[in-house]
Amino acid sequence: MVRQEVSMGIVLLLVICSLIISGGFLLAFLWATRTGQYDDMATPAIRMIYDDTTATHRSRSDKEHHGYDDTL
Amino acid sequence: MTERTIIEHQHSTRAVCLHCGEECGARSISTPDGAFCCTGCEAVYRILSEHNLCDYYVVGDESTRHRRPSFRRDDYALLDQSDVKTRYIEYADDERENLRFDVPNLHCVSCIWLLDRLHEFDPGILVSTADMSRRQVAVRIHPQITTVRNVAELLAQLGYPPVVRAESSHHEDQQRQQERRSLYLRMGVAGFAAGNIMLFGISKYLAGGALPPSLSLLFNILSITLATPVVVFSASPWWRSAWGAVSHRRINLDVPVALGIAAIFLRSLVDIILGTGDGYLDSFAGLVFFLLIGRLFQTKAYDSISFDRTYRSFFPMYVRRERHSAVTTVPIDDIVPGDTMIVRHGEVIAADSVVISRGGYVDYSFVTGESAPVECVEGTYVYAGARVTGRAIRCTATAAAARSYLATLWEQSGSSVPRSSLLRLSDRFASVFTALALTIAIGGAVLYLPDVTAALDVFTAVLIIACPCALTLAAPITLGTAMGQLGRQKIWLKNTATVVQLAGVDAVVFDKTGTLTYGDLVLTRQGDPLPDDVELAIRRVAASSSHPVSRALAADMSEPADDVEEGQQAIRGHALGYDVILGSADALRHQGYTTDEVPRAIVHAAVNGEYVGCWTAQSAMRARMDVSIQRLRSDGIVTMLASGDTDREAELFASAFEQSEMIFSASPDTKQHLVSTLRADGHHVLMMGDGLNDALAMSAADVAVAVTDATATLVPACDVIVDGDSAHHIDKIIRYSQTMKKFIFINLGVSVVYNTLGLTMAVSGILTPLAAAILMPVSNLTVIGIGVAAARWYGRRSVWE
Repeated sequence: MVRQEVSMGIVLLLVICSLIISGGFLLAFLWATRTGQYDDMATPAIRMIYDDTTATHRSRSDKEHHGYDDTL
Repeated sequence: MTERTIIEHQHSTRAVCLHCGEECGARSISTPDGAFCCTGCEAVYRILSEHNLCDYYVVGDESTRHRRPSFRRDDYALLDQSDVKTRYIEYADDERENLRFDVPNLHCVSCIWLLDRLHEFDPGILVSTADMSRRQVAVRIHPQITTVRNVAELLAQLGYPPVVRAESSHHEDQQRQQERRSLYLRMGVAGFAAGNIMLFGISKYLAGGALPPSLSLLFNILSITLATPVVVFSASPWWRSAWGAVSHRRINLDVPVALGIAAIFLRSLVDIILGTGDGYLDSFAGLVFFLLIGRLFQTKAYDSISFDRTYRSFFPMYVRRERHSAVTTVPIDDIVPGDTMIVRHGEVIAADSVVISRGGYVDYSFVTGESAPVECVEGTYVYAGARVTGRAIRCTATAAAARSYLATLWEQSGSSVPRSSLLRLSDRFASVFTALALTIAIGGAVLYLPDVTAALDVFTAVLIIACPCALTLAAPITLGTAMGQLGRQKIWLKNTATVVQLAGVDAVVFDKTGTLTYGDLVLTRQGDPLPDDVELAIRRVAASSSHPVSRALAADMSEPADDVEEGQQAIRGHALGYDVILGSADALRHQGYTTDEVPRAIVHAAVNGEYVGCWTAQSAMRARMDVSIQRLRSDGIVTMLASGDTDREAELFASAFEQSEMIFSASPDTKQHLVSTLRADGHHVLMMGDGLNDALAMSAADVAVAVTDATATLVPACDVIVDGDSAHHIDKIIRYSQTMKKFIFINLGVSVVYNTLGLTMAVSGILTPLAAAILMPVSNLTVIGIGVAAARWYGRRSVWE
């Protein structure tokens, strides 16, 4: 009986851990969708292949454009 | 011709324009940096190099072709007006304005690279982001530093002229985006719940009832907690749709689905709370997840293509109005009878009017399909929709734009015929299905009476398993995948129901100009190529005439020759020291030349008293179009040709059509009448056209297919948009649709088998939660698998080659 109580506690702990982790992923997904990261699935894949040779001005605008913006 | 000029000629044809990558012809401009094919290309290169953005040319691969820019200064003057400007603005405050432009020319890697860097050109532009799939560019500007018009002009200068937006497009854009996002959110929530509840379920099934009661309670509480947002949020489209249908005393396919998911959730809740069972919450969450996948396939739509057009899309939005010798740009609605308009080459006359300038040429290809130009002189009456070719025309409006012939034409087409729709079919199916499911459920329950608990068990079990989940998935998954496969071949369907419409087609009516044939008048040189300077001279002489054939010959040469005499069917001029005569065969023979006998030769040339050959007009049928028509006929499909043109090119189509199947000089009304007659004879008619003159017939047809040579150009409202290069696939499109329809029925059969199996279990009271948890996903996955595999296999690349 004592052994079963111990294993119960571990199961409880694991369930809580798994819910927290998967819940975190769910929240990340919801955030990403709401901020428009799933709006365009084609262009970012192309954009990442550029070399940053003329990136001087880019850093300036990146600061103003921090993160994703759902209005743009 | 000396040897030196030949060598030079060969050398120069190998020179490639630094900007657009096309061969520089006789009109090349050489600079220290390299050669350009035209001044427009050179200008773009200058802009890019001034801003150190020549990486543009490095980013794309070798085959990348940049568009040649075409730009007139006053094109975007209207964007200074606030009502037009707001169509582009998504968000605005004192600090910033978020704009969105449609740029159909966005097509490759370097386009994205450049359009992401608009802030390099204008300090007022804060950020710009290109969107490849929607062919849009989002720009954030500082309203105090720059304006919407400046950005539009910059885009045009770079070779990406933004499309003039319709009033409502902005709103629709946002609505579609919102719908797509909420679908993803619903899927995320349902998928998360399904996965986690399933884990609890598996441990329960494996333990076989030996789970400690405290753990079992915990799992039950967690399962209900996770399932609640699925009911409230993820499944809400079905609640709304089913309620909407029932409150209008109708039954749609969402009614039995809503009934099923309501039954499964409530039964589980009762079972768990009363402790009479484990409930079906894992099946429930999985079911909603699969249903949402089906919806994702169904909402597949092409963002970059708009299928709904109004006649205003064909019109210029503004006109140049001349008042008190001052020319201003005004919206077309401001034109009142008596106003003087100036219409330039390539522009459409917006209101019925009388020509008051020296005259020129217009064509009515837009309205009637007749591509031959009409000469107009002072006093000629021109209709709205006429397109000016050559010299600019001044004319006085006799009617307001909205009341003109073109607008009436369009409003007639608004009264579209009711179509035998997939929706009606599925609604009828849904009512039968719901009635059947309820009958079996009640009948099964009655069998178990007076044992009320067992009766209720059977009643809910039947409703659960009868939920036509696999049935609702079968059509959208198959058709959605089919739409995607067709999209790869540049055939874009308006929605999934169009596939079913296409499958039923047994009569096809073709338009001629632009549909069966290539749209533009293209001249092909017959015989040996001419030396560069001779060709240049010919082009310059041609450029000084406003006759459409001359314009085609001149291509984009803008420098006319001097002292040109324009006579009957011929012109004579001097350029670069050559004496050039251009004209019809008769005209040249009349002047004593022997001309080559080439079929369809449209213009002959003589230089310095020597005949140098001719050009043929390429009003040819699109490649492989005749084969396609033959195949349609062998499939037993009626084919007709309805052209607004005269029958001067009839022999071109004699191989494909019988004499009785060709109608020439058809007005838009005649075309519509033809389509209506075919429909009255019981045919399911497909109308294939390209212009406003076909709009009426297209709206009368069961399926309207628009052919376009550039997605940027305007097409009438339709169900399918086909790229010109894929127009010859029309027979394969119909066959493919028929195959897909067959597979929908196969899928329906499969899901009926599963439903029968489940129903048997439900009625005999052995539908355990475990059995449901296995049966439901397996049936859904079978249907999805068959649908996707069939659509991909029958639409694979080799089929279209």
